[in-house]
Amino acid sequence: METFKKYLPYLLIGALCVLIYKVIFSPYNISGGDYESYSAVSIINFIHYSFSAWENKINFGWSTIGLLHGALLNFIFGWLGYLLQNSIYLTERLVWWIPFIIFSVFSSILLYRRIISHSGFKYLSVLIYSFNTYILLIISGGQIAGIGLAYAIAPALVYSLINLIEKQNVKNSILFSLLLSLAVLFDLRSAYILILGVYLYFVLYLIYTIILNKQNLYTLLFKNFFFVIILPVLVVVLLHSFWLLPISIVHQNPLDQFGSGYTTNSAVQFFSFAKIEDSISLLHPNWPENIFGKTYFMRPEFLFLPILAFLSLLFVNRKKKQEGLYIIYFAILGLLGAFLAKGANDPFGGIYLWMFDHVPGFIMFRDPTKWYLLVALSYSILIPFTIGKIYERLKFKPQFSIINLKFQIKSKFKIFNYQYLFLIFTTLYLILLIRSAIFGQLGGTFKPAEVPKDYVKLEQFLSSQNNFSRTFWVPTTQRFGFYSDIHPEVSATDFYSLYDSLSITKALQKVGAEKQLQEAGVKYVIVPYDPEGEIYLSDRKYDEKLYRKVLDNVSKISYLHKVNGFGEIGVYQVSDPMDHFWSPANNLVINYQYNSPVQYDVTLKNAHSGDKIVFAESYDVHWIATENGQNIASIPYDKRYNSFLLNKNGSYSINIYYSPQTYVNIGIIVSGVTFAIVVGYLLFVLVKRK
Amino acid sequence: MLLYKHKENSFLLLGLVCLLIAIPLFYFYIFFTAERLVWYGILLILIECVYKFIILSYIKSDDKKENKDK
Repeated sequence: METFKKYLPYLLIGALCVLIYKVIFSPYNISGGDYESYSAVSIINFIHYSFSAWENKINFGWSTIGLLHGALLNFIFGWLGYLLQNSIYLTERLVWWIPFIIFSVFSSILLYRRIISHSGFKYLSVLIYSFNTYILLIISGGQIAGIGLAYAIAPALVYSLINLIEKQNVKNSILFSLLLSLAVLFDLRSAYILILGVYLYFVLYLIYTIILNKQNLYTLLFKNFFFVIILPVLVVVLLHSFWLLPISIVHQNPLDQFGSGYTTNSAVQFFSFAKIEDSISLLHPNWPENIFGKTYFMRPEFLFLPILAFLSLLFVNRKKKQEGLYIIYFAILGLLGAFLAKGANDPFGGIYLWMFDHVPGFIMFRDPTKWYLLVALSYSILIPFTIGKIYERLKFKPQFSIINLKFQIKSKFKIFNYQYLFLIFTTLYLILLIRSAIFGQLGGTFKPAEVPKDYVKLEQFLSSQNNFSRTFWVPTTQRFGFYSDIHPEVSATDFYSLYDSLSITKALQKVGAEKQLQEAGVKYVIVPYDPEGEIYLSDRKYDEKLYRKVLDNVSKISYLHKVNGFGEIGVYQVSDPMDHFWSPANNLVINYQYNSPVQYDVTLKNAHSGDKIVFAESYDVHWIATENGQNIASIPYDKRYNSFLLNKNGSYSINIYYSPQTYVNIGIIVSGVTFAIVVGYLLFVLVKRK
Repeated sequence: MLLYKHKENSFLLLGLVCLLIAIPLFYFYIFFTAERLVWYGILLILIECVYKFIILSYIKSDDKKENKDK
């Protein structure tokens, strides 16, 4: 019986994992939200081009130097996929899903054990941290590879900082730096939130120590500064120099390419879906349907969560000062997280908008719900602490009185005393909150998805063609649509900057539209079939009529010729599309070899000085053509593509190169050497201890 | 009045009561009052956190003073 009682919580967590994440045990693919459906081609691309400074598979390509922080994870994904014989099914489970479950469960246990002396309620910490509405919707929305994994290691990061502050040495500092680097690798925004969150403890600790020990602020800062700030910052910067070095030299803001929709105050106001009653209750505003922008009335049962959490302050014991400091820290962390997660909503919504405009790095948080991470971290400690304390009180008070009547609690059954009833009740309450997940009502990645046969046929059709050409998706790309570096996909919505499907079809009918597509290297215009109901929406619901109308409009375009054999997907061919490199000059013969997304060898025949060659990738000033050591700068063609003016007659070769790649390569060496030193040092410490 | 009385946990308890009262109000769709109660509850809990932190930080200093006096 005792053994059963001991292992019951673990059985509960295991059962929840199986019930909620049953999709990973199913034979189907995982797809939904932002979760990409990779093809076997992606694995090869990940191996070769994870650290590429230019992405060329979507639209007309873009600089990725601001987005390279996760390159190592893609590289690992590629290699593991290669070892597993291109099995996307196994690779995505082994790289993302299983590590997420293991990390989130064990890191919350790790933090719990560091903070709370009573070890019996760690399962509650896991229940709150790994199975709350916020993280479940993040996973359902397909963000497991970035935010999900960063979320999973967050408690371990807090754990390592607390260890570091209380015992300052090189080993603890390096362990903290490695975890912080890992968080940056997974997701930059989560890492930013975590840095603020964990250093809040450092600030509280400093104030506490200064008042308590009456130490000089400067002595204390000097003592702490090196191990807690300088060394971790140095290690993280060096480990991430493969993207920090190029970004600092090229001075490129990764958010620039997304336009004003990402960086304006009105975007923040639009994205502030959570109200403070949602955020303080750890209730995701889109729970459970996760339909973008669709929020619900407050579910009052969730308000018991903050009550349970902040009740912990009642048990702060003046004699147990360290424990008290932890509880106060986590309470402030929860309040801070709840305040920021509500974004521009009342009360004091202006503060968030001001921070968005003025605080460095805050511009990444147009979607304020990311701050729920701090609330989850806070409650994963506070609630088990409160429950533990109430549980202890119930244990020592078998007698209680109401008015003047005294009662005695007697129970023959050990399991059905007030202590256990309280524990069972609170556990059931926590499970009740996520009942939608348990009963399989969550969509997105939690629903098994099968790639429709028509899309499989389309993939086979496109991948069998070895010459470069683009596909043009009207109105936009579909999650199962095939794309590769030889056949990039272009979203018509992005191309025309139009967000209405029928307006896009009208733009395609205009004079000059055919020439535009030919110059873009578009060979096929595709009207996707939308079994997921994500593209043809009217009032957030799938609209079959809209799909038929788009299909009808596109089929009437005179310069497009239908390609049969793809069922519900409309595939239309464009005649004589241009290649990746082409020239308006008729005399010029161009051949090229694709080496990587950042490098092409181009052979020119019969070139005249002043001829122009167009490189049909998005214009970027850092694309450079080199001929015999002489550089030719890129100039924009049609405000969209790169072009190079030739300055020599005859037949010769030129090399087209995206220059920031040089800094990425230098950064990779710096990061590799740093990683070797750091791991070497930790191994040395480990061996020395033995 | 709570500030004047300076009694430990009074802010916290009042804050928690605010959250507790908000539950039935949300249930009956009385949103305006319920929302305000949540705001005030959070504010009161925050004050309690700061208050507790100050008390916790000063305890040992007081102990030291007492020891010195002895």
